[in-house]
Amino acid sequence: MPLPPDKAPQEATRTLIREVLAGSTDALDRWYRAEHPEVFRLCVGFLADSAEAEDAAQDVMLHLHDRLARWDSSDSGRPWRPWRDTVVLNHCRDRLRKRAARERAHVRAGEQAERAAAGVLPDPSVEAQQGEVRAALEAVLAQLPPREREAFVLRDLEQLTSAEAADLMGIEAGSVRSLLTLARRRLRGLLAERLPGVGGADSDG
Amino acid sequence: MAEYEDPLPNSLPDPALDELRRAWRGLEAELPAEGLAQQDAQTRASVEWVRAAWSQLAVPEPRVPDPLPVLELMPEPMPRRPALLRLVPYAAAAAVLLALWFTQSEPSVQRSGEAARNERDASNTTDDEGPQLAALSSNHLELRSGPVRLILLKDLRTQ
Repeated sequence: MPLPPDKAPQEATRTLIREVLAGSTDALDRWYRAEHPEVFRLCVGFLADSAEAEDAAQDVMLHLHDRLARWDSSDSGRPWRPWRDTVVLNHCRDRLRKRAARERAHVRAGEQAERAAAGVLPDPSVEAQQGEVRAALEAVLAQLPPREREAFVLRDLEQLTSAEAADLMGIEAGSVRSLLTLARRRLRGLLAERLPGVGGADSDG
Repeated sequence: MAEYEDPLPNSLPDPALDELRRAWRGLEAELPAEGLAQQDAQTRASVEWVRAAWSQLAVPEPRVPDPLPVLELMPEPMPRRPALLRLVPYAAAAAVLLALWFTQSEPSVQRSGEAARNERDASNTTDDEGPQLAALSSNHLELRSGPVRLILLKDLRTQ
């Protein structure tokens, strides 16, 4: 299965951001188009709702743009990606907190659970099934409690180390591993029997 | 802190219990395996499916904000005079007023009083004319020349 796309080298990102800070309109456009896809995917992962993630990603991009000057773009400054991901994570956490009544969230989770439990999972590699894939993905992610979802997105999807994820989440690395284990176990319970070719038997006996 | 009370006082001697307690507290929880390769097939497959779905997410087009227009610099206003220079007209007016006040409040020449005037009043003289005798009496003499008036008084104490 394809891993997330390679990230732009740090140096190229620093150079681009310096150009944005210098006022280059072209650099601003390139920076937006380079960062937005990753920011959007993170928002989908954290929010488990692609419609909300689209709004959230736009808000986060504006937020990042407003605060670009606060990131140390010198060569000795903090790496870009953890700084950016912290902004994304905090923004999504705020959104989750501000979500309308828990009843609505529970209703949504219940509806998504029904969708998650139904039928064989669509194939992500088939373009014609992209809509179903997205819906199934949102439903599955919504079944994870927020903290487990964060750990899963940062570790298994964003490919960060436990230490990096712990730093972003503000917890210990051991806690990240525990949350990740719980998230994987839950995903297995939701998906295993729906994956073609895997079956319901536990192969490690 | 309360002493630990052994519910079974005859079970184990204290040193052994202490040793057991130390061993128990030294235990570290074994952290779950992190790598996906160490997971069972179903877990691996589930995570791989989510990864694939996530990486294939259709990303909407970003709305790049329009750059703010560069504001034209306003033309430089006329340079203001230094603060001290701005006060000069006021200082000049104050000086004029002070001068007028001083000239108006100058103490008038002491006059002998109205008695001298009553005795003999000098005729009006013009500025063009020289000093004129304005008044003359047994104990005072008044001379006038234009606006200047000279009064001489006899010291009555010497008589």
